[in-house]
Amino acid sequence: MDSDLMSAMRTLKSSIRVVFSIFILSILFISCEQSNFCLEPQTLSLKGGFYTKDTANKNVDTSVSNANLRFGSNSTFFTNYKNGSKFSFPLSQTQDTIPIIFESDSTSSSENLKDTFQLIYSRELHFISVACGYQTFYTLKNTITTNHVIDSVLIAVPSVTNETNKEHIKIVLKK
Amino acid sequence: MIAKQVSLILILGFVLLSNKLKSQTLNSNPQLESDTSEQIDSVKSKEKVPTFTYYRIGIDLTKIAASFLQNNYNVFEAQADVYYKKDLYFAAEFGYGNSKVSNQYLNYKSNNTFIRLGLDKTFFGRDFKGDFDNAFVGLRYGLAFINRGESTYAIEDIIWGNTNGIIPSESFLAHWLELTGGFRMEIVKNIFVGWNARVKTFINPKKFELLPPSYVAGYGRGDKNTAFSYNLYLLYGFGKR
Repeated sequence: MDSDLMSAMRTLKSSIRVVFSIFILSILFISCEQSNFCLEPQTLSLKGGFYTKDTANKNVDTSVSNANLRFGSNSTFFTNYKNGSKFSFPLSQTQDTIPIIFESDSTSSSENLKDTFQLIYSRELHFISVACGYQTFYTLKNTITTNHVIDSVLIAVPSVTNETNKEHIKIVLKK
Repeated sequence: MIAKQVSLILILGFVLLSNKLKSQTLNSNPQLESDTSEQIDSVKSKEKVPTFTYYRIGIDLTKIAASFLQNNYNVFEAQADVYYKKDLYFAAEFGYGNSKVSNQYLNYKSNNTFIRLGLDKTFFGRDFKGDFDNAFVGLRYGLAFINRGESTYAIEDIIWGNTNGIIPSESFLAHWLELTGGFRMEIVKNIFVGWNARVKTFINPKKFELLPPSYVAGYGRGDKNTAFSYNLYLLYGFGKR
């Protein structure tokens, strides 16, 4: 082989050696990856809407003027809906049946303006990530309700998962 | 971080590639090789390289560094390859690793052994007799035997109350396919350095749905169905060139 070529090869190889040693050093620094942080919630919400029946007995969207939905252990938590037609609240990750209290007028304490409905479902553990651990997926089985202001509670989409934009139940109100 | 790593790998790749191409262009320059008989000789010597005679065995330096720097996992990876013929090498990679997860929501440990088998196909011819510097692409089949220990989990729920529980321990067999590429360069006689970049995908990802191991040695993050990784190998070569 030509001597010029041989010397060219030698320079080439020594330059590669330099590049390699830089590479090794840089690896030592970039090996420190950031630890994982949990950015996803562990609780999922059930979503639903308020409806009334029209003359043809079809369910149509309606909004409540000033209603409360009470949930949580001992019904200590509530959300107030003013002129809202959609709602959401979390389901229990420890029980298969939960009571929800619907107060059609939050200013009144009359029992006739209140209803309690039970949601009955099954639970399934769902892995989120190493950083976040688990959340619970649900499958709605049944609903039972008192009928002061609520006509019925219907299951529209039984599976409550991390999919958004699903309406799981419909609360059909009496007119 | 990852972008930095990838760009570094790419830069290094281009430097080596362009140099190798340059040297090949020089080689084919008629002015430099006016003696055609010499050229024929060098071509013949390329073909005469016998099969299964030159072996390399080495370790992955990045994994050793990562084991020291990371609290969450330890891993050891080794590689062996053998020159088969023309532009083909048989490669085997194997190793061991363990990992642990310890945070407010999950606590568990796992460990595994793995083996990857496959072929590498090189891009360039030999610049001289016994030249094993080259760039390559390759395919691998990977297999890991994983033990995941018992796990405790906690779910925070301020509204209905917190939950916690235990996921029983489990053993699984994971297997995956990967595409790899990289370089090998002889820095001193019979001592090679080189890197591999790898992209891989599980063949049986459903196995891990309940609780994946956080790190699978030989693969990467157990909770990802597609993983990218790289190795920086230091290898010792022996046998007849």
